[in-house]
Amino acid sequence: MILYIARHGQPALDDMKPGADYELPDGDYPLSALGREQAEFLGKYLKQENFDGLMLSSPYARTMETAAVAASICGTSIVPEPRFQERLFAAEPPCPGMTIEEMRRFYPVSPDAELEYPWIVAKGPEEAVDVEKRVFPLIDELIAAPPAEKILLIGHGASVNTAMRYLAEKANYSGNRGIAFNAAVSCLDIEHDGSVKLIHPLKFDYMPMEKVTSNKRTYEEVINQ
Amino acid sequence: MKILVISDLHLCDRRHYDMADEERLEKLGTFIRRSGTGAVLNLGDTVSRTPLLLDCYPTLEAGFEGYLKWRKSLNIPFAECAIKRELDFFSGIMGQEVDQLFELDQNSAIITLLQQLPCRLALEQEEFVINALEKCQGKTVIIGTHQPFQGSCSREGDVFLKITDGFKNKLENFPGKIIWCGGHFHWDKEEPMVTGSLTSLYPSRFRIKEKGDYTYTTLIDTVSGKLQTDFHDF
Repeated sequence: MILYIARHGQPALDDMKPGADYELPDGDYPLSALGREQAEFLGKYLKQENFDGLMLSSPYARTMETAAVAASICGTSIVPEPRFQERLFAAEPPCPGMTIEEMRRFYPVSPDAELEYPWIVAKGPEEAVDVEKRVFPLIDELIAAPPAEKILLIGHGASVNTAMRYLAEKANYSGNRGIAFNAAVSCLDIEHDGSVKLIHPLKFDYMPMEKVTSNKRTYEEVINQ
Repeated sequence: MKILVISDLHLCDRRHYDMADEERLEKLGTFIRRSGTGAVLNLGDTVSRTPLLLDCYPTLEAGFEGYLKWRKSLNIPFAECAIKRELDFFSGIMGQEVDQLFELDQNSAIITLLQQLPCRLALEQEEFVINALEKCQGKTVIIGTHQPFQGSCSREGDVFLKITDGFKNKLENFPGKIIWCGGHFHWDKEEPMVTGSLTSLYPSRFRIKEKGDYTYTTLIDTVSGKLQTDFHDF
């Protein structure tokens, strides 16, 4: 199985409340114009890689829309995967989230896909270990019984980095795992015996540097932080 | 009937430092009277968000008082398309519903929709529109939403209202003229886009001097279907 792991494109943050944390949007924001462009770059990159597999996406609008843009380029459909959702930092969920019926109205969701609702189940702020409890079993499941030969997992900073850390350990890879910029993608080769090989860490060189962001922050702002 | 579309008045906003709200509204009122406007559709963002308010308007409600006084003085029908933070005011004072049909005369109707969900139209709202359109056979129907729907502008913006392809197809194939007006953006004028029965346009904005922009409005003649854009010095 070839497994791609990507972060969503830049969300539309213009309407966020003053003082809000742009890295942790307080609602279910769709993509900004730049975010849609980043998703297109991701889709074109995947198309070049002959990606025609399964897209598993966190059910938030920013991840589903990223997947939808890429899916329209690659001619695939999406299955919402709640275990790859954003880490909950607030005391309350940031939004109720879409039902699968609502998702089907806007995104190419696979006809067989199901999604229990509500899919935001955390009752309060999650620790890193809580994200691991969701993401590790998901990765284990994909390795044990891959539902497709090529899979793209689309998530958020926390879920993407958690998955990357877990898979890097499995690959005995101690190098740089890359930075989870918007629409950055990594690629791993997972053999039938469960062995993992990192093909490339999170990368974004398929889009111009001026398009690279981490939500509100530019590439330079992230690097110089 | 001539329906004037206005949007994004941003009253009480500290960024309008070159002209007082009263003066801008007075000039707009003069234009409304002289242009033969029969009704006004306001696409919302009437009073700016709290952090942008002038010190003399500590709350949204205080800011709305001037608008309400001005509106009453014109003595013509208004259809307001409130955005979420404005809805309490519009529903409390004027009884506005979340989504509303205004049947103005034998030729004209306005549907206003509130953005209830983040950047997308709810299924119930699509159904509301279809039911309202069926009641308005033979009329020119103007749909007002604060955010333009995605695909209604030639350029990209961050905040659009997503509508489904199926819903858009229904509007495009509707036996009657539908004009969908969206506001929100403060950018240069966009040309209307026409697909079948559906014309989408970005009909109005008010100048925020800080942004270096200008004011314009659109008059819609519901009998001839003619759109008239006017640029203003306020």
